[in-house]
Amino acid sequence: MSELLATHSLGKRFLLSGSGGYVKAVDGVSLTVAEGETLGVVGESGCGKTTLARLVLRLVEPTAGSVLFSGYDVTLLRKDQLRRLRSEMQLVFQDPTSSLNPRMNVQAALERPLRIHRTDLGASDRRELVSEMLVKVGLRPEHAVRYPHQFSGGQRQRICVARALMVHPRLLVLDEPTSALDVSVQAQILNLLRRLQSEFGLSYLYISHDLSTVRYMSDRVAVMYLGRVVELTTAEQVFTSALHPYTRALMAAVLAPDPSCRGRAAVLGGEVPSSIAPPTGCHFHPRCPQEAAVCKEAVPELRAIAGPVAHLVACHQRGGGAVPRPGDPAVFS
Amino acid sequence: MGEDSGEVLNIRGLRVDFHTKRGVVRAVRGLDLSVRRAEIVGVVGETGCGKSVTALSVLRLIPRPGVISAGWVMFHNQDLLRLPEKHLRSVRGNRISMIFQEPSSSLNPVFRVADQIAEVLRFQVGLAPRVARGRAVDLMREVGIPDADVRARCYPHQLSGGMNQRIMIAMALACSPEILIADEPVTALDATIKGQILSLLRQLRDRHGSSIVLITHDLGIVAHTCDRVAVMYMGRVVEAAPVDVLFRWPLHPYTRGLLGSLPGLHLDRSELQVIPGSVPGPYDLPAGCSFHPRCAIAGVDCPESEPVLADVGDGHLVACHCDVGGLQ
Repeated sequence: MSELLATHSLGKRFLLSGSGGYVKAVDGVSLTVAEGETLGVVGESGCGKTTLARLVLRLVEPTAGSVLFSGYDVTLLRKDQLRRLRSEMQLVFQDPTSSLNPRMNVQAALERPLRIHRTDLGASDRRELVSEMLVKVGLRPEHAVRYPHQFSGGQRQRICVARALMVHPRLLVLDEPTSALDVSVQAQILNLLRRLQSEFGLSYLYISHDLSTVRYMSDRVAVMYLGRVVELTTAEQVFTSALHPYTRALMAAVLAPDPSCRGRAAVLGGEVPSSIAPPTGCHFHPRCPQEAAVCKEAVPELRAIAGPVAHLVACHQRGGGAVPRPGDPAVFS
Repeated sequence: MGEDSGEVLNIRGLRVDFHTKRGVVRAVRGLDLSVRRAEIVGVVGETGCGKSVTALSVLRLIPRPGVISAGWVMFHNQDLLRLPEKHLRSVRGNRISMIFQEPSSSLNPVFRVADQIAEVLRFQVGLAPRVARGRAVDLMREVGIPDADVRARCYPHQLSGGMNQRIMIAMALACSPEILIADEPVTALDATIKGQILSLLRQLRDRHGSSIVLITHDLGIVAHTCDRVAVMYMGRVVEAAPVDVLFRWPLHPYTRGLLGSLPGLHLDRSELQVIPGSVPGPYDLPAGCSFHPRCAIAGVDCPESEPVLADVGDGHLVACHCDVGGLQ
């Protein structure tokens, strides 16, 4: 698999008005997404996952690092070049209701990307492409004349997915695509996304706080905490042999829909610290059960762990070729 | 519905209608639910199924144009729906308390958090201001707020969502209520904070013997927190059972669909099961069993008449025309 997207030490600082301080929303993030791959990005609110999505599409300007998309440095492109490249990377947002214009019918909404990126097409071509796409996302061609309020939440998200796919992008950034939806509808959208991925050969950057959907969707997973990636490996590895204490705590906090697992969910103490004044060294050290002196001092690097699969972890206690021990006594027992 | 069965709350045949310009929305359509002493009962369902309206009805907090049109809410042999407003006030916040989804919008932004807790103690319990304030700080400690005497002087915007929800719980507990109604208490909170708040609720039940009605859309929360669970669909309870029973032997096709549509944490990457279609709009309620247009096993009776909630054994209640009991 060749790389479609790569970020190198990507960073974004937001200036705080008044105080002169700043928030490091994203801090030195290096990730790759291969052709046809889904990279899941998981973390709690304020960990910088949405800012990361916006940086990848250059909807906000980075303050450090670079974003390479099929070889081009997105951060250096001129406006016209960027516009051309954007047809290859599209975004689907969390709330389908607020991302559709209530005064635009479906036909107009889906035509919009074609009018911008495919100026060679005539009106009848556009109509035809819109009906085709509606069928592909599980709606009907006659839905084209309806307005967003005439659809349910799940159908609206289908419309948003259709709109993103109109220009045949290679990368789709999915920012919490199902968290505004009910569970029975969530399953429909997840199935749809997987089907479309194999049909169009899409790559996904799948951002979510929900571990069970990340597991279902992703090939590899990056775990973020306060702007930094703390662990990056295959989905299977993350869910069976996570090494970072934060990842383990996240896994342990999952409330599986099964009463026989009751009491197995371990509770992590403390709160997510403010990103305005994050803890020194390893951001996780005040909540970490394995905290040592070095953790307060130095920022741990994201380093590869020796083993059969690529596994990166940023932890002072788990560096230097320590072999993962699947099923070793949980840190939080 | 006597005290001897240990029931502290018994809702029977509750109906709530909203009269709007476009017509009448029947948000709750004949709901039955009982809560025993020191029991945590989950009420689970998707958006618009009437779970929050049910919670608000118990204390007659339904906003206009909503009207409670029928039913009983029995609390110690008195019907809360027919109690004079004056008497109801001594129940609200005192013997039955509520907490809501968004803690930061339920707290008053211009008062210090401890003063907001103390207010409840002054007006519901009649404590003197100074005593109330001291007791408020004690309550903050009890719900696990570190440095309670320092945090007492904070305003809600200075605390995190999880801390604010603890303040709400402290306020709800101020009068040691017999029943705590928690409407999506952890939905707005992060994964690692969720677990903290849920275990706090369980501890409180164990310590004070309060009953808790936990309203949620999250089946994982139900599995980990509740003793019994009622599944709602379009304003009615379609299935109710002890938690272990419901998750092991779900009988109603809707419950089975909900459980099947959850992606598990196992490696199974096959297509997720789905419930076909979507929840009908509030103005187009299907005739008969409201689930029948989405149901795989719907028969001829289903569009004709509404099934009643019937006991299929061991306190497992199901409202379905089909012989789902046989599935067990």
